[in-house]
Amino acid sequence: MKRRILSIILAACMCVGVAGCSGSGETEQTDEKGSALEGSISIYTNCVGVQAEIIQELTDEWMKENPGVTAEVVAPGADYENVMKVKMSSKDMPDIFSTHGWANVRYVDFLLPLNDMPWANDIESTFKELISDDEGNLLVLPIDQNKWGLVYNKDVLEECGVEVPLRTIDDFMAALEQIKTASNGEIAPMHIAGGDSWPLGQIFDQLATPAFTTAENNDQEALLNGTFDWNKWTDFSEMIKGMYDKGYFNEDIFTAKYADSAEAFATGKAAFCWYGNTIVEEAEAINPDVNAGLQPLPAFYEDDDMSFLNGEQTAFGIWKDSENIELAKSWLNFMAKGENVKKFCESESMLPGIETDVPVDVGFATEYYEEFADIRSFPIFDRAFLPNGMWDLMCKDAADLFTGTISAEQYSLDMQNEYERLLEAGE
Amino acid sequence: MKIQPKALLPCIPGFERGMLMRLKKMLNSKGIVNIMYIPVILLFVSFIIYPLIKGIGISMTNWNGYSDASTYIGLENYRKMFADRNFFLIIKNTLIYGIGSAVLENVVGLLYAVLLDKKSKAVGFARTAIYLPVIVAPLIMGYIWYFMFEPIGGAVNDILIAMGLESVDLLTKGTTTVWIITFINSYQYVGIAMMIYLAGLQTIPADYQEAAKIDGASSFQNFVYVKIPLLLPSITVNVVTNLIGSLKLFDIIVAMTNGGPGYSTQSLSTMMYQLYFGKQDAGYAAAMGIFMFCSIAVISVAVLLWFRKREVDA
Amino acid sequence: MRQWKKRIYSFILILISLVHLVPFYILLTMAFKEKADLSSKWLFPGYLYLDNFKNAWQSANLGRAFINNIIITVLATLCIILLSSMAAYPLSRRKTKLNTFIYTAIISCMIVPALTILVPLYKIMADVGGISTYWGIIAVHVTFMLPLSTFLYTGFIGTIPRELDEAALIDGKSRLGVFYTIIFPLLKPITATVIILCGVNVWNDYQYSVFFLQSTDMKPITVSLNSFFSMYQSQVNWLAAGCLMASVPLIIAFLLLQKQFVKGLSSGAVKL
Repeated sequence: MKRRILSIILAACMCVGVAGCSGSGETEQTDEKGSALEGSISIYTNCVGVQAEIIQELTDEWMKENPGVTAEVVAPGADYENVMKVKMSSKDMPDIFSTHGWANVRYVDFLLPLNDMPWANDIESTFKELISDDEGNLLVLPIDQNKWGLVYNKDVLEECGVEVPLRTIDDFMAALEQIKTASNGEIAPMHIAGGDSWPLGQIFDQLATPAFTTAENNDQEALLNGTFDWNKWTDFSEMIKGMYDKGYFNEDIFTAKYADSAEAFATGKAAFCWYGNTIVEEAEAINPDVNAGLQPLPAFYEDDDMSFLNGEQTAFGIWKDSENIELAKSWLNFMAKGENVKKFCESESMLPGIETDVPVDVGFATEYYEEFADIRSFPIFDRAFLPNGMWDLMCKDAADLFTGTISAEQYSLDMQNEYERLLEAGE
Repeated sequence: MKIQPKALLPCIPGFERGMLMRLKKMLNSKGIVNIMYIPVILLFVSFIIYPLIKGIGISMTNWNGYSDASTYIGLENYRKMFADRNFFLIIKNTLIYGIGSAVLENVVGLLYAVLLDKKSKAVGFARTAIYLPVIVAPLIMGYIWYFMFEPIGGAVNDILIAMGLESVDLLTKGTTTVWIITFINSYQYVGIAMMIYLAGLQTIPADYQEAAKIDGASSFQNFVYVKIPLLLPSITVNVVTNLIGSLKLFDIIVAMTNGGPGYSTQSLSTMMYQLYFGKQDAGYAAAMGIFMFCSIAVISVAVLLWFRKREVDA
Repeated sequence: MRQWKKRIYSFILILISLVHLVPFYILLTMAFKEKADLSSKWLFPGYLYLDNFKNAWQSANLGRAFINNIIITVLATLCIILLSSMAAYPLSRRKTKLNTFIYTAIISCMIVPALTILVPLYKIMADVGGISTYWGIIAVHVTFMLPLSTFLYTGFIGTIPRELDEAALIDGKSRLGVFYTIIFPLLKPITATVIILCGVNVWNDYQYSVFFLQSTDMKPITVSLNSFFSMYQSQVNWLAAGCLMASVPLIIAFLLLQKQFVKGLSSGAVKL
């Protein structure tokens, strides 16, 4: 009796094993002659929540249009980058994947050039170079773009008597002080969800643009060729540390999570956030009447003007060794259709990354993008000017700087060492 | 109809009568049972030992964790590790997580076991209640305690405020926070230690305790001189396994502080994870992993041998 | 006096039990609250609100995740039981130098940190096509649980009198047959222990599943739930509701096996 049970169990284990094998083997078949597409592809994205759902919905529609195909959308959320790194290291990539700002630096060896795609000439020009390889081949389809400025709670600013736009960093500092005093410390001038670590880097990364790259006399060249004087980073981080010392951040800066930022913003307990337009969507889920505003980043130098940050947000590329390139291209073309781009962008109040014939309504941001239409856009600092892999250090050391564990000099030294190590490893 | 396998044997080319004898002998030799662990060995070699050796190889390169290119750099990563400004803080934290949890789990677990070494409905309920946290995923347990300790809207601060005290942010207090995480890890897993001790207590023959009572021993003396020595095997198991588990502590730290603020609550395992995925310094991460493996091995073997000696003496 | 002592004893018991039930209590209050309800986590809401359970179930596709968890946990636990009880038999009955070495080596594998070997392991799995398959993740779980379970079985078999084996051998059973017919049926209590200790670990696993089960249809519960708490999304009330649902099968299993579980740990079997 016992033996029989054992053998049944063993057989069952084997069956699962065999089924697993065939399950993974049966996927790849493409009809190369091509009228009707056939086969199946996998699509990996770092999108979560509503955006992930929309990608799934659009993929379902695509499958309906092409009855012979199946597609699987995988959205691992916060683990996306880790999963992708492990997949890259074992050359086991999905057919289509998101590149979240790292198309050229991190993923370039895995991406298929997309120059011959019908939408290749409609890409937003400010970042087209950043999503192309060194020979100028286009690598990804950017569906939306961040046009990042300073997002604020309009009601809070009005209540505290702050007038926008804040043109210089001094205006900005004065505004922070005013919010703090006018609200008796009840309102956090800026809310950062340091419990998640990455938002701490966000303020450094965003302010680094006006500090180092927008002025006439800027450091773009030096940053790229490795001659940047990191002492400048010391002054810069001391300035931000000054904001911390003066109490311009939320009290729970090291423990708050992203959702807490959204909550504080929605309930009028925070004036500024550093997350771009996405925070507004999240805040509206808590308080539909939240009144958000947007302005460009203030300038650091007298002769300089305000600036926007600009980069692709959700962008998809095709694995160059994929066995389903035709299918993958068809999916990208489908996603690039005007109404689909519109649907995706409007769910997060972001501008489209490619020009289409269908206008996109970016909600609360519309009036501000119009008002500041003449303001220049610059690429996102760490993506364009720092080697791939410095982000984590930037966030961790920022926390240590605020808590007083390290000095601003040490921060700069760490940044410099890591910068040199990564530049060297990159060559 | 049944075919006798024996009848078929002569059909095999090259078959001789001697072979059958040898086969039979082999099947009946004492060593034959050893084949029963071969599947386990195969799994270990392919899924643990081979990857571990590869890990040693990676630790001597400057691989970034995903590209094809990497250069052999010898022991550079190990040198870098010992020169790292945060390295000794991380070692200290890891030791607190490991040794602190092992001590707490065992002291409290033993107390619980002595307290609950009875049979009644209430005792059964208490045992179940103490064991229940074990079945919550450690990642989720970490989240729950994050909700408890959140400085704004956290359950612990609600109590402090209700008592008229200031709210505190207990998740950003450096070493204190490390102890809090240690405490929570112990809190979650004390149930396993308790169960092992309860089982150990049940194996103590009743006449030993009777004899001690007749000799006039108080219940405390009875505990120290009769029960503890007899429980030593259980203590060894508990201490060593808790030590190994807690030195590798990962999920709870990630959920509660993610090692932060800065590096203040990092352990070797969270640091390794961040080096690998965050800083893209896979060679360094692997070096730290190998270091971690070796130190856990040394510590746990040392502790094991120490307890073994006591067991023999007892 | 005695009565008084007894009361204090019960009071202490209740206190300890409550302390250990706090996480479940907090999960309960959170699971029944609306997202916008920011009242203290100690308080139950004054209204009945079940949407968190519904949303968690639908949004994380928990139905599918439950099926995955059940398949993975049941099969992995079965393999663990089979493989480690088999391995434990020679290790505990024939203490040759070779076997002592192998036993030590198996136990030492408990020490290996999963992260150290993650990347090479992933590569092996990708090469044999084991990513996002049941057998792949089961093989990984089984491997990492084997040290513990082999340890438990070896100790337990050591407490079974050898005379049983010898009597069976004299009866003409083969050496391997002795294990299946005589020893295996006696392993029930320790098997309960293994089921509880290893099964719970497999059920709750996050670290391996997130890498080895990437396809959406294959996600287990912990991975699905974690997405409620990721970078751009935070649905803590759904998380709480999902977590409660996920623990129900474990609580039931524990209550059913509790007696055997303790029995398996006793009889002096658990010894390093």
